[in-house]
Amino acid sequence: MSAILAVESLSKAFGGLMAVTDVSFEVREGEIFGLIGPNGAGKTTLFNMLTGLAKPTAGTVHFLGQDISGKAPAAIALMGLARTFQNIRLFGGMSVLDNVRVPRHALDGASLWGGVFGSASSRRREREALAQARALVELVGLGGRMDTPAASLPYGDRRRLEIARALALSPKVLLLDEPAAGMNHAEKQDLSRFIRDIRDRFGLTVLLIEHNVPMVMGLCRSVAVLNFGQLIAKGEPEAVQADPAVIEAYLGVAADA
Amino acid sequence: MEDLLARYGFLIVTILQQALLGLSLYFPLMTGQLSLASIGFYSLGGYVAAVMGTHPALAPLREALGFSMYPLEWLVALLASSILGVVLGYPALRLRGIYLALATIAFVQILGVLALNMPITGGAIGIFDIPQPFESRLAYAWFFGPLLALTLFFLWRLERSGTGRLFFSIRENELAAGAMGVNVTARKVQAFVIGCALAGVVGAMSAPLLNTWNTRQGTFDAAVACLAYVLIGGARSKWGALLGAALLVSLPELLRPLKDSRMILDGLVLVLVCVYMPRGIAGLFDRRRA
Repeated sequence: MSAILAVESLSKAFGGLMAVTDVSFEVREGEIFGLIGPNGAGKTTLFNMLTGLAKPTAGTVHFLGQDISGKAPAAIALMGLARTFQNIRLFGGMSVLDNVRVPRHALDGASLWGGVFGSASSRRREREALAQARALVELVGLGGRMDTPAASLPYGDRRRLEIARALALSPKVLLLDEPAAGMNHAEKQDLSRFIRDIRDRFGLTVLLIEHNVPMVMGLCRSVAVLNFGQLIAKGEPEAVQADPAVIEAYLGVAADA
Repeated sequence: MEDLLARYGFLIVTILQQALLGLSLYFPLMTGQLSLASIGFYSLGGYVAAVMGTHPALAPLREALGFSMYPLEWLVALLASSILGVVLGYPALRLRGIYLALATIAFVQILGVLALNMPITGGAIGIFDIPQPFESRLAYAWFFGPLLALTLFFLWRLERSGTGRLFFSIRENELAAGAMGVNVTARKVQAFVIGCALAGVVGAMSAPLLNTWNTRQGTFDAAVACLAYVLIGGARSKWGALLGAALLVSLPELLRPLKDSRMILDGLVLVLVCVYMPRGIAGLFDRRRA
């Protein structure tokens, strides 16, 4: 299996603060890759660099063999790198269905005149976008709330809607930023099942930020651990879990050490 | 009835015209962008019609075309506004919020200064004796009425199309729209240019109505008036601009018996709407539907 996403010596400085320092790792096609680390470790900043929302200070990101580190977010998204947000960013005033339709329209390059005057090709694309969006909304279990404004959904449903919206980009790689935040144990297990299921169904590669160590250990075949912006361990979950640097980052150092 | 129409004819036509200007602001607002450039394009469109209607070199063309000269003026105004809209839109729409509003106001001022100093626009005096197709002012409803109907139809279709949804996604969350593949700048420019083109055509239709065109047609005050229509009526609905224009244009007339104190009441209504209806008049209907 080849690397679908390769991060090389990636750094990000906010003024004098190094949010991410010289991070390198590779994500292989089809795997579920976990990115863990304490609060403020730079995980979301790393995601922002992968998706073009933040410009790296140094280093490169290769996606499908192409350097995407200088590209605009929209261009990266259309290449097939989709994401969800830790602090949910839905189109609040729009319906559940319309939220999921937006990436479809972005992909088919919705034409202004075709849409207004109802050209045959525009009508066909509208129908396809509608059918695909409906299917995705059903898939995440929101089929009964197609016309509800996204902002009035309960918290858990909003997280699921974000995943449906990201899937509407027909991505090759899906980045999930703390998808299990605020969920209880049973919900986390459901979510783990769901992530495996969509990986298989859509042939996805998943990159996952998560605080919950048991969930990551159960779901991912490889993980990377960030602490204070630095990659302190990577590899198989069992090996990483036993790594002294990781234990130190999560639990601190014993007083007599 | 005829008496009433004669008396309020100008008011009715003005409401239609101002509602169209308000709608020209609604297009960029669909993408969440507050632009005050409309009045500049209105002024530009008016000058296009005024020059085409009065310039001696074009006399043979006017004679040959007759009434068709007016649609030709609209078309030229539409093209000129669209081109200038693209040229202005790309740099200006990199700015956000209050800075975009300021940049577009600056644009309106620059156009004003140009019009004051160019021979073709007649300088400070402006252009006089613009040919008028109708005797009565109410008849200009034949210009503005169909344009308003067409604009509303266009909007009704647009809001239900993929392009409309892309516009709204930018308004709802610009960062997420970009992350979902929406070409944010191109879509903002698209919405902006539609607004510019509409304002240009409204200007071209207004030049014959007013018979004279000068720099007073494109002032800061007029730009703020258009903004007020949208804010009072509701910035998130196409009906907002309509309702706002109808209310704000007719209010001073309805309150005329109060003489000078009507200005106080006029202002009071504005303040009350802003305080108690932050989503405008159209927002009241929105809530009931939700």
